[in-house]
Amino acid sequence: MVKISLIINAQPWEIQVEPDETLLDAIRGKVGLTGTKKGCDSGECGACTVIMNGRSVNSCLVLAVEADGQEITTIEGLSHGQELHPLQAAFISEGAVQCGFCTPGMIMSAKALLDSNPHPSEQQIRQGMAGNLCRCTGYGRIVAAVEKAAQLIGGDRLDATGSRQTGNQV
Amino acid sequence: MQQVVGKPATKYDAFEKVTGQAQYIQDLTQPRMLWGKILRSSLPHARILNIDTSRAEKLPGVKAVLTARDLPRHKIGFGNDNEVLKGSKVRCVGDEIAAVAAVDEGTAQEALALIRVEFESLPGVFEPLLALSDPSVLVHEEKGSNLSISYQFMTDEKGVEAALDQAAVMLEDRFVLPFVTSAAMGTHGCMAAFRNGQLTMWSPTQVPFLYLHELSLALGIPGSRIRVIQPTIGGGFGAKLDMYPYEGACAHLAMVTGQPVKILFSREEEFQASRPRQPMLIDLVTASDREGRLLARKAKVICDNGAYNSWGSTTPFVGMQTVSSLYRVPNVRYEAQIVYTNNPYSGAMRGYGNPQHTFAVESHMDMLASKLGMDPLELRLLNANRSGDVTPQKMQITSCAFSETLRQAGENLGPLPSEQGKLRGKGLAGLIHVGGGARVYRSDGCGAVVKLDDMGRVVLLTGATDMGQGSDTVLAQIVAEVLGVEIKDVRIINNDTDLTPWDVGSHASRTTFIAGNAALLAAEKVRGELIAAAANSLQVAPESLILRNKRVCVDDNPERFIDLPKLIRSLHFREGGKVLVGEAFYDPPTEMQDQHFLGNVSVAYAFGAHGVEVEVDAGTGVIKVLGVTAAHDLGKAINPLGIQGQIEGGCAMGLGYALSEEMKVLEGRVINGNFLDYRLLTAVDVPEIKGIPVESEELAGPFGAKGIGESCCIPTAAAVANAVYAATGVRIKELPITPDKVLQGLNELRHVSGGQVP
Amino acid sequence: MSQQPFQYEAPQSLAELWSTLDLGQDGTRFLAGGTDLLVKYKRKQLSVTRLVDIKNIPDLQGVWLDAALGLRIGALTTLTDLAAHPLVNEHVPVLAAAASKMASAQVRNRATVGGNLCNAAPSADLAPPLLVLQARIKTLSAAGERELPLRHFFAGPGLSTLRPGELVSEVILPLPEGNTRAVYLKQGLRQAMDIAMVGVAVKLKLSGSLCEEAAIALGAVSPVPLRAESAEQYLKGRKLDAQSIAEGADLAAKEASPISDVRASALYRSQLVAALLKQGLQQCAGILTEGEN
Ligand SMILES: Cc1cc2nc3c(=O)[nH]c(=O)nc-3n(C[C@H](O)[C@H](O)[C@H](O)COP(=O)(O)OP(=O)(O)OC[C@H]3O[C@@H](n4cnc5c(N)ncnc54)[C@H](O)[C@@H]3O)c2cc1C
Ligand code: FES
Ligand code: FES
Repeated sequence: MVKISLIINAQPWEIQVEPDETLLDAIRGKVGLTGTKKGCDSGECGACTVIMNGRSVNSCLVLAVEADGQEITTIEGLSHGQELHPLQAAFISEGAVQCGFCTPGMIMSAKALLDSNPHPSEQQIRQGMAGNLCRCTGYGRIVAAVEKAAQLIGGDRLDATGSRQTGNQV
Repeated sequence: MQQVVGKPATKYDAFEKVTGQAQYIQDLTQPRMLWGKILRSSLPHARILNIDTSRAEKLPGVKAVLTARDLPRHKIGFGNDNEVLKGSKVRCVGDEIAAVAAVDEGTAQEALALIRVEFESLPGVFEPLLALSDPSVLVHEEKGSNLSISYQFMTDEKGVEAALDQAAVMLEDRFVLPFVTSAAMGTHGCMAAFRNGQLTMWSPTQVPFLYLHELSLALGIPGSRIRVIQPTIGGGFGAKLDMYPYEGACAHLAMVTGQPVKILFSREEEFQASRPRQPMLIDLVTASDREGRLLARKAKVICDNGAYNSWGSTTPFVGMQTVSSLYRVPNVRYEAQIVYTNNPYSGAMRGYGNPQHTFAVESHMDMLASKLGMDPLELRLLNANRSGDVTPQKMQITSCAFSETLRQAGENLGPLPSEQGKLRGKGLAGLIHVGGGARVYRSDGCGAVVKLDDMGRVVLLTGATDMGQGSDTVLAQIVAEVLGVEIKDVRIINNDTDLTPWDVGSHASRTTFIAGNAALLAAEKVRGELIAAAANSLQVAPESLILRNKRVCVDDNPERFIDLPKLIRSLHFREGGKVLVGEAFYDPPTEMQDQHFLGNVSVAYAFGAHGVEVEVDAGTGVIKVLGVTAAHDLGKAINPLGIQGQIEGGCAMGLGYALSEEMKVLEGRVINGNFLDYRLLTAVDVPEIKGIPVESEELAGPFGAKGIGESCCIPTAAAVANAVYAATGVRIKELPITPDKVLQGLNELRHVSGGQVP
Repeated sequence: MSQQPFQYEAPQSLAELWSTLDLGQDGTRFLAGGTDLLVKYKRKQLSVTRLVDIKNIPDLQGVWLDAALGLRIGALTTLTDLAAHPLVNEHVPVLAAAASKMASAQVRNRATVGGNLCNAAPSADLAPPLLVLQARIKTLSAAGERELPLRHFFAGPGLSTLRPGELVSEVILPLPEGNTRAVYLKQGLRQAMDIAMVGVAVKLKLSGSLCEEAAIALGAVSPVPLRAESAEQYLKGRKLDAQSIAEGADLAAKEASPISDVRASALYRSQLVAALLKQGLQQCAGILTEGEN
């Protein structure tokens, strides 16, 4: 076991993990945030998407030890009580949720996309979400939800932790 | 005017799902819970000589290791040919041999590796045709043959042959359908707890009551001691119709350890050991007169059943309906053989045999049109089913907007102009499917209880399962409509057999229709009582009262009203008081098919048509779908938002079936069991899908609605094949339609025409 | 994960890295983005006893222009950064385009240039464009540094010529001369999130419609990503027209030795090489004739 400290949804955590434990298993099993889903455990479905230091990642392909000292946002970090993030609200209103298993990962991917590109075209949305599989919806409603959220959010946005997002910088 | 029904409603449980609070089987846990794992066969066919579990048992942290020796010898599964754990023989890769419970997942996994199984490997049979013709390898020796079930339906032998003799045009082709699988994003899993002689089973089953019954048979304990709770289901699509062997094993582990046990499938296990859609070989003959009127159809179907009978072995019931009743066809002969092989065993998957058969039938419709030089839409309209028809299997067509859906989806068919190096075209395919329940058991019923409390909160207890498709929302709308409340005031309890009334299950697109009718009847009972009580207290005639905005008010004088909570309390706080509960059991007025497969199994039938436009790259054969128009006769769209989602999702699944999905099975082993090699379409691949609900107002349906869940994925693949033909002249009769096949087809055409084709 | 877990180390500098012992031992692996390695580890296709995470070493990061050598790309550059980097987009846009066609946003955020090459998959998408760009690989080890052309880097499916304990530190690209254009065409079964059935990169130096120089590289059709030399020879000095393009494409297809696997048949792969190459050559030629040249 190795001790790591990381910030999850603006809260500091110290947890013991196995060296080969994934960030996904640590978030679900050790931190108890089960909103992040495991659909394949090999980077192919996107259900486990979280945002690490401003970028979306497959948490099943990140070792927990690699996340030591990093800042993570999961689906649970987007809403505050009853107050939903515009993406969450739009996913509901546009009918983008069916079984919901893909939904947390979809929303996190969409958030990362909008953080770096606040006004994506439909094609950019589809490209940006290509790493998230959905078996239920056929994606049409999901794309509509992301478009709507982009409108709701408008120009300047704050992220879940209240700090300004800088988007992808290289 | 309806207040709630017919208006877009957001998914009942969407809040929990977008916030990550919804609890799927993956998320459930119990104090002292153990992790179970299944040792699965790596061989497709072998005799088990010995199983040595001693080393596994000694591993610290292991609480139980079970093999067939430890279980009652009950057969399980539809057809009673399967066992929870296999003791003497394995018949497919993935067959369950032993089950382990341990304190954590890692230990359980480690224990599996310590179990030693001695096999005597047997030759396997993987091709259904071979399995039939060569009995040297028997999957089930005691049966004496690899033929599991055969189906035969015939109008009248002489009639069929005479029609074929008369026919101006006759087509005969073989269509080949591959293994595909549901691939729900949430994998299978279950959790069992055995306390005080009672078993509680958490399972994402689609059919809780039948499941409970099967479980009781498998375990040899009375069903009265079993409670089934369904967590939020991460997609079903049919694969969660069976009680799986691992679930029986999980319950046993919980029983012997006295601790709760949970088993989850990995994605790899999901591919190998969940029930796929059955591969089929369909030899189809279609005959028509010179004008294009269908005279006869003859189909001979071979289904790869795999190692055991799952519900999948009954899909010819549905496929047969397509052959006999999609379009008017007077003479029909249908034969299907369900053949055991050492492949994964096929189950139910959205459409239940219909996507395969529709692929064949609708490809033939197009081929017929081109042979006759007819417009493919005209040919279909000429033969389309109409209200009042009785099909050769005695299916009675009530509401029917088939022609309308064909017209809506079938604009601009044929080759289309395109840029250099590309070939464009549009194709069409239609469908018929049960839309008002399906009497596959003696009952096709569903129970509902509606309860009102003194705050005006409405609770619907329903047996109907929501696996993501949105039936919970539709039921809430129906109840809200009848009782004049908002959807928010309605709570649905649909996941606990201790609370919910009996239901056959979520299958056959029956939930909106059957459970909807049950909920409607129960709500109306409560409504009657409310009206009576209000009439009494307002001193007006009951007929003058309506329910609206959580009030009972006088229709033409909305100022005179009584609030629901107040009315209900007045019933509680009085002598001889009562609670407001209404129950109903709706079992549709249908009949089971007789031994000749005749009978009106459904109150209503759903129709629809998909028009698909594709662009094919002439150099690479790569197909790009440019758009889908999906028109569906659904009676009435109770929730237009939900319908849109069902249509889009169904089309996407249909496009995957058409173009990219194929579970490759080599000697019984799935060799592409991951999402890079088993390709579900991504957001980039799925084009814009235009869903067109066509309302035909089914009189027997709740507010006029018919079922639609499965319909949405049924004709897509045929429409794609027809579009590819329109674009290229290449007719593909085997799914999936890969660029490879298209290019070989183009090359053959080029060869024939000396290089003239693009 | 129920395998004997490995030991994890994350040196913060090259000095720290070289101070750790026995990097060359069996089972010791470098971890970059992990998008190949972790999948293989979980599927038990790769044994790992010790994992040395090289992501935190600053010397392996970044993209910069070197007056003498050209464009230098740190091996730990992620695909996302590669695709977005201004220098890459300015000098070798084909590489940015290839990177943005790979995997998914999430994978690109982790996956690295070095990992894509060291993984040595015949289908690695960066290999064909880097081959036509005449990339050189810089390696480091406790024993010192080496430089070799990328075409000498691949040794077989999953095999490179890296020595035990040696890592790739940079990819160095000579700046393409004027009048050259390059494209990378990749064909999967899906339009996104797919491993290439075939990938082809083409770089042409043109003068009018005359091909002064051609570089062609093929992915997923031979044990290692491959330069199609006979096609290059054929096209060199030739006028590009329908016939020479078709001829060149066919020659290249003959150099391929594809296999059949779960993704595509060998026959189709050969046909696809020719078809994609035709498109690639046309695009390169077309872009230039339409352009200012
Ligand atoms: C869902 C998914 C989709 C994918 N799609 C594509 C695709 O479209 N195209 C494609 O080409 N690939 C694809 N890949 C494969 C993979 O993402 C890429 O090959 C990626 O570039 C690997 O980089 P990495 O940094 O993650 O490598 P790692 O996994 O960290 O490493 C891979 C191997 O290289 C070694 N290694 C890494 N860096 C170095 C170094 N600097 N020096 C020495 N050895 C090193 C490691 O020890 C390991 O053996 C996909 C993977 C997934 C999971
Ligand atoms: S679980 Fe991580 S991508 Fe599927
Ligand atoms: S909603 Fe079920 S997988 Fe997307």
